[in-house]
Amino acid sequence: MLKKIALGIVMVGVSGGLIYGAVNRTAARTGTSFNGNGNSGSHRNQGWQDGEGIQATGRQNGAGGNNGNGNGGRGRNIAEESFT
Amino acid sequence: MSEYQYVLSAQTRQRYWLVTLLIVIGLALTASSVYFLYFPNGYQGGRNPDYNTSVLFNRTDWSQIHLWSGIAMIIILLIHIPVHWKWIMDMGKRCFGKTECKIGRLNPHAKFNLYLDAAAAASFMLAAISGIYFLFVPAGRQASAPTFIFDYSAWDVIHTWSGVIMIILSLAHFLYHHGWVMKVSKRVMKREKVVETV
Repeated sequence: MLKKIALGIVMVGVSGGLIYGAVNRTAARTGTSFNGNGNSGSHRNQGWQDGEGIQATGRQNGAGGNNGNGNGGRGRNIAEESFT
Repeated sequence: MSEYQYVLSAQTRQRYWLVTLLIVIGLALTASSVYFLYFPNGYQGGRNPDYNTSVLFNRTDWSQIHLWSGIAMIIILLIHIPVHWKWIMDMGKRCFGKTECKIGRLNPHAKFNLYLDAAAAASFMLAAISGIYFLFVPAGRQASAPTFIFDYSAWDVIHTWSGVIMIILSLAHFLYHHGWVMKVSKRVMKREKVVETV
């Protein structure tokens, strides 16, 4: 009986943690608000995650100088990540 | 001269090592999933203080762990299907054969096991298909990502929720069958003497 209760607690705890995390991620990736674990503000501008967007900003701001090239490089690095 | 043989049949041992491999890869996949659930955002031009937070590994390492354990999981489960093909066909015939559906006649444990496995398989398929989408459309190309049935954000949400449901159902599956795992673990390396000659 005690074993079943312990397994139930593990099941509920893990499920709760995963669902909380999934809500957190969904909110962050879709730009909706979620008062979660302090990640608020990290999804203010989803476009910053986009390597292409960062490259474009670099071209606009850098006026062909080092700043533009640097930002472009950063964009390519992010593009190497997987779905994350 | 003595001869020994395994206590367990070759089929049971094969199934045991497959399950062990699935558990190890599943743990790697789950750990990396949890990282990306709690640190969802990538580089945001310095605006994301959580970017590249290190929890045992950094973001790039977790990304690689998630990628390769996901691919390994897909390959192993593709092996898992032929191993259990007879069971799948038997269940298919029970429900989709010419005779009436006999699932209602299964005992409650078998019925629960069937529904659990079917739901886990469905969520796995969704997680795998959406994962394959992300193999071809990495995060950095989000704004220009091609729409394949759904847009990038929709695939992200599908991958997140199907993955979470798959992990929960896999844990339930493991806990439901943990008796078998524990019993076989104790016997898997054991051999018994069957013939003894001088």
